[in-house]
Amino acid sequence: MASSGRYIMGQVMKRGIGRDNTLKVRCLQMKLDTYLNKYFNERKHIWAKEYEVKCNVGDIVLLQEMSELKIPRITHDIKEVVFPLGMVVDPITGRRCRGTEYIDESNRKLEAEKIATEKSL
Amino acid sequence: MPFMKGRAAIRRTLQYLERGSLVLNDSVQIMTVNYNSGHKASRGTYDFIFWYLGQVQFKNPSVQILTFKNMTPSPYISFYLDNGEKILVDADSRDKDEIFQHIKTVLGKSEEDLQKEALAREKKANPANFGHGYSRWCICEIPGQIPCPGWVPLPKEMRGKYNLQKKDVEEV
Repeated sequence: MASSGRYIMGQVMKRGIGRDNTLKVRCLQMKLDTYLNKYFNERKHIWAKEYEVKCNVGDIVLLQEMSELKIPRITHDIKEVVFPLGMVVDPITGRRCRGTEYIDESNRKLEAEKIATEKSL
Repeated sequence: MPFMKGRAAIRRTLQYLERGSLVLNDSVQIMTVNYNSGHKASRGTYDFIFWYLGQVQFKNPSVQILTFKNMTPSPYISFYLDNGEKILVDADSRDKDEIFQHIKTVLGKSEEDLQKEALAREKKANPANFGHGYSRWCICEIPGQIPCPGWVPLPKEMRGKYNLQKKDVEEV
């Protein structure tokens, strides 16, 4: 899909019913309140189509505007999943993290094995 | 008139917003600031957001600026450019001014570019301009210039009929 346009980032809110690979993404843009002279987040809902990149509801994704509108109301294409829900990777170190702490991979493996063995019992 | 409400209410004045000196390159489309609450190393990033974010958004209205809290252990700022490139600025334990200067050197428009743009804007706003979109359509409306040939015929030396066709103005 030819995709050359503005990039925008947002959080996936829901999947389209009827068309499986369409997603509603909530993008925030700051708008200046002219009376208070303060910026407030303004929500913009965008319907995007997922072609190569698959994502889940709740992920924070990078969208790119499509150059041609092939399907009505679907204007953007999902370029990249920046922060998948539950699988956030710190871009500086490359390690997975949960909130403000890194996930100890070895510990996690042990836990997973423990759960697996307990399940099989 | 009571004092303006809020913490550091000066941030909410138009003069403060207009004084912002960070104008990002045209190639920057998204700016993401990740920081943590109650985290010493994030203090600089928090201050950057507190003091400078309004100014940056004011000077770059087309850039989408997002802030994320408590997503990763270390604070950082990332930029998404129009060619798909992503630039990471590590802000761990850095002072707000340090971060600001770093971004300005890496992705900010230089002083010369800003001056050129200011000059271009002035040219557009020049009251002496005439033509489409300005108050006077033709140069003939400006006092001191030759009157409109639709009303007063031009002297024969200025007419193509005389100069190029070598005809006298009375001829057809």
